[in-house]
Amino acid sequence: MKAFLQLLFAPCREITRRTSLSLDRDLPRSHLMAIRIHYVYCTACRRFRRQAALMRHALRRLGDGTLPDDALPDISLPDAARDRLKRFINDR
Amino acid sequence: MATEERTDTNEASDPAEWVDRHGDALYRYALLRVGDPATAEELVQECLAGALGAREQFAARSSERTWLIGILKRKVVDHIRREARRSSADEPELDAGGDTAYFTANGKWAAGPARWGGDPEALLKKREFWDVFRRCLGNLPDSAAQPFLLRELDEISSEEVCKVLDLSTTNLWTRLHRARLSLRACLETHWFGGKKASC
Repeated sequence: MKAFLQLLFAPCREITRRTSLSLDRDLPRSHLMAIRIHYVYCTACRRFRRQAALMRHALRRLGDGTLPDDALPDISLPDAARDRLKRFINDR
Repeated sequence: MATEERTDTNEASDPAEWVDRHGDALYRYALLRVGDPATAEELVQECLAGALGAREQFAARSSERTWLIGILKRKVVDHIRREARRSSADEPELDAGGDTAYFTANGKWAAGPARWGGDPEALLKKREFWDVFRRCLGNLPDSAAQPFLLRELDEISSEEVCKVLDLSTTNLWTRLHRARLSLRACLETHWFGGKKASC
């Protein structure tokens, strides 16, 4: 209860830290409740939460190989490296 | 890269075709992660060796490319672990939360987040967006970028990031938070724009 009340009146800096933390570990339910109440009246922290989630989503999509090639930075395997890697596979 | 055909089937192909089908994607991932072309090529080779030895584990639940990148991610993590062991130089300590620049002395947002409009899915298909994203990642201090990318891109757990980089959990959370604040601010400045919010 004490943690809940403390967080309920905590400034955005503290709420933002907890928001970030919630992406990396489970928070106690009382903390989550206090944070959610803060979001109700605080546009800035609500946006931070949504934007942190979007950044995570973007990186996961980048990392799972499902984005179209023409959306991604124009990096391609140099020809020499391509040949070496093909030879490596064929030798196996 | 333009010549590469997008092949995202759930069927395993002949390994002889892997380099043509997925070589660019694997190399791109590796290069984004380690920055050095020779190291990136080595990691792709380690990934291919690993994949050759684990072909029977490829389940058609994911695409072949997703499977290969999954293997590459583990090779990248191993590489970073080795590098972290080698560099014993102490990182400069961050301020308590790593967030003083973004808040006033009494904890209010100094310049609150703006609204990020637009459809996220459409956004992720824009190369210009990814160019900005990459530059913003490049602006992060190493002490924040490395744990952040291990966590969000290589997708390992917080506990594992701590082990790989030999960090305490509190230190890790501070760095991840700092990375999110910094990346967020950079994307807003260089991509989203918009009017700042306060509570």
